[in-house]
Amino acid sequence: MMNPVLRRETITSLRGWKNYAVLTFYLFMMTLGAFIFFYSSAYESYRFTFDPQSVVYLYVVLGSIQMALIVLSVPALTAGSISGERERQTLDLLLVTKLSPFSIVIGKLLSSMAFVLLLIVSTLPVFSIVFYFGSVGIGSVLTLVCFTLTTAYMLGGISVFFSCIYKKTVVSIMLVYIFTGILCFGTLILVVLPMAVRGGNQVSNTVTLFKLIPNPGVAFFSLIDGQIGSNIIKDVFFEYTQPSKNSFIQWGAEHLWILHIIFQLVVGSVFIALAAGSINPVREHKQKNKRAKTNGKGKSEV
Amino acid sequence: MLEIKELVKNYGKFTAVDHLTLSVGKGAVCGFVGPNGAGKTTTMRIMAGLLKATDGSVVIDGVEVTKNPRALREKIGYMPDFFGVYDNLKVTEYMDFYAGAYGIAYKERGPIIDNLLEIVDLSHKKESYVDSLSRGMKQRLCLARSLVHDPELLILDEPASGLDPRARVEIKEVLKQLQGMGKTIVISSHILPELAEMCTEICIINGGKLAAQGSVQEIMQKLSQKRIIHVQPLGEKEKMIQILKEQPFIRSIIENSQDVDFDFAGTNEQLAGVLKQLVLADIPLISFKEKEGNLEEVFMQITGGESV
Ligand SMILES: Nc1ncnc2c1ncn2[C@@H]1O[C@H](COP(=O)(O)OP(=O)(O)OP(=O)(O)O)[C@@H](O)[C@H]1O
Ligand SMILES: [Mg+2]
Repeated sequence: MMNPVLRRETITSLRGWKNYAVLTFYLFMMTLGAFIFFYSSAYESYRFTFDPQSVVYLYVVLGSIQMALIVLSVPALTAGSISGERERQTLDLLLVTKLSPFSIVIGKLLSSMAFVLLLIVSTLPVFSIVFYFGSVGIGSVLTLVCFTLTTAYMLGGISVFFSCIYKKTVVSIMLVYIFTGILCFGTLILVVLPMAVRGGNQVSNTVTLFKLIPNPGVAFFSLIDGQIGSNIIKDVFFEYTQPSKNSFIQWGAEHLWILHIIFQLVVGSVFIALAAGSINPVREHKQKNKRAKTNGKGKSEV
Repeated sequence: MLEIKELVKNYGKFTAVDHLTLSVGKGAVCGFVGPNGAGKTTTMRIMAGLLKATDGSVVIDGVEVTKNPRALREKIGYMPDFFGVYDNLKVTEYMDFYAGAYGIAYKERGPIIDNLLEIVDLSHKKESYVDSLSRGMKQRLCLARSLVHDPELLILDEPASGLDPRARVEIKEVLKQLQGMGKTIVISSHILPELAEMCTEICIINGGKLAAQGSVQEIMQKLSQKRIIHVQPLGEKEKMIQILKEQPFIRSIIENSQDVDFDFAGTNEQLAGVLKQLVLADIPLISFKEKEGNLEEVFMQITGGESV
């Protein structure tokens, strides 16, 4: 049986205007990206013509826009899921049913994931330009879609969690953006700073690899990197990797995105479990009681 | 059906429910009455498994709520005091959603929903959007929602609040029907007379404590332990009050513009003696009678509003 929360979300969102607005904006941005790309690459060339070789870069541009839009829209779509129920005073009505807190959270997450999937599928026609010129295969695009979906899963899980904790949706959205920002730039600084201070060859590749795993930005470019046949990530961060030294580091430097997908799945699941725990009324108050009891003890001693 | 023992709920230092003990039998309709902040909602939320008690126990149908809240969800229908509805959802879809949430198979939902909408008189609104319904209709819809899994115990937190008299009567009709179906109902209100008609027993809660429990008659008898006597003289009021003040069994005298009420703690013979003294003092009396206790007053007295 379909998760009732997912089912209801689907019905109501198909009737609302919000998702259509997001979809329209999303497609507009993708098309705009493609248009600007064609225009500028044609402008640069002598005879105002277009070089089919450069379509590879169109793939990079479209993939990046897609990724950025997903990172921006998933928190906006998901961070209000539980706090919205609370605000509307419908959460209690859900919690007294036989639905477990876990299935409520999953239902919410799946409904925004389903919409993300719809967004991605709707942009496939734009991606088909890339197929048309034959520079990137369908396998690559599907891998990119998978990567985008696991990113949406992680961000969705975090958003649902914040949504359970904070009453204001805006606060949750901002917190997810900050979290994403830390993952992208915080880890990057942690990697680049020691390299700049001590010099690239003094920094352990193993440490660099583990610092880079949580970074969605680097992971995304490592995926694209491999797909278009360049070696930028490896050259920038793992300059001195010797093939013989450590085959895992060697493999990791080239497949950072696979490690990152595992990271995303783990982090997303942990946050989903935390979210389910935090809306479980009985469990939540167990913790509160413990705190109250220890407070009481402290007072009686004084 | 429902056993509450020594229930305590603290919010920080504040005690919202204070060692509450009561029991409700199967098929009973129990009214929770109390002023704002008495702890009715808190108690009901604990019963529904939405709040964890600080101490004490709630046992429903032999099962401890705190130990196994999920096992009890099938048995409890809960209607909160405040609730919302979803946008862009039709009445039948709304019911279907909750039926699904209670794990009712897709095929069985149709007849159940039709039947419930019939009971709450919303059959004509099936295709309307829930957010377009009036307050009273939403309230009835929420009642239908809480019945979707055919629970044995209904916990209704002020189901008639904010409704006009006509809508209140409609809700009451539905509740009578449910009572006829053999459901155990716990219903809260801060208006005692409203509950009196339909409840088999009343629990008066004040400051988180049980102030009185019993049938409507029993509660009324509680009042008559404290007798208010109403006397109306034709002039010479001051002289009469002077005499009354000398009487040993009169605890307090309330002076109104035309007449006097006093709180009498003696026996009937002693009361007759008071009347005799007034007559012997030549006070022209046109009325001397015991005030009939009405439910409002019981409520005010028991909940500590002494100034009737
Ligand atoms: N979450 C909370 N945090 C702190 N205090 C609370 C909380 N919920 C309720 N209270 C307090 O507990 C007391 C009992 O509240 P409750 O809602 O149970 O009263 P009630 O009998 O339902 O009143 P009403 O008739 O207004 O609905 C109140 O004094 C209230 O301020
Ligand atoms: Mg209340």
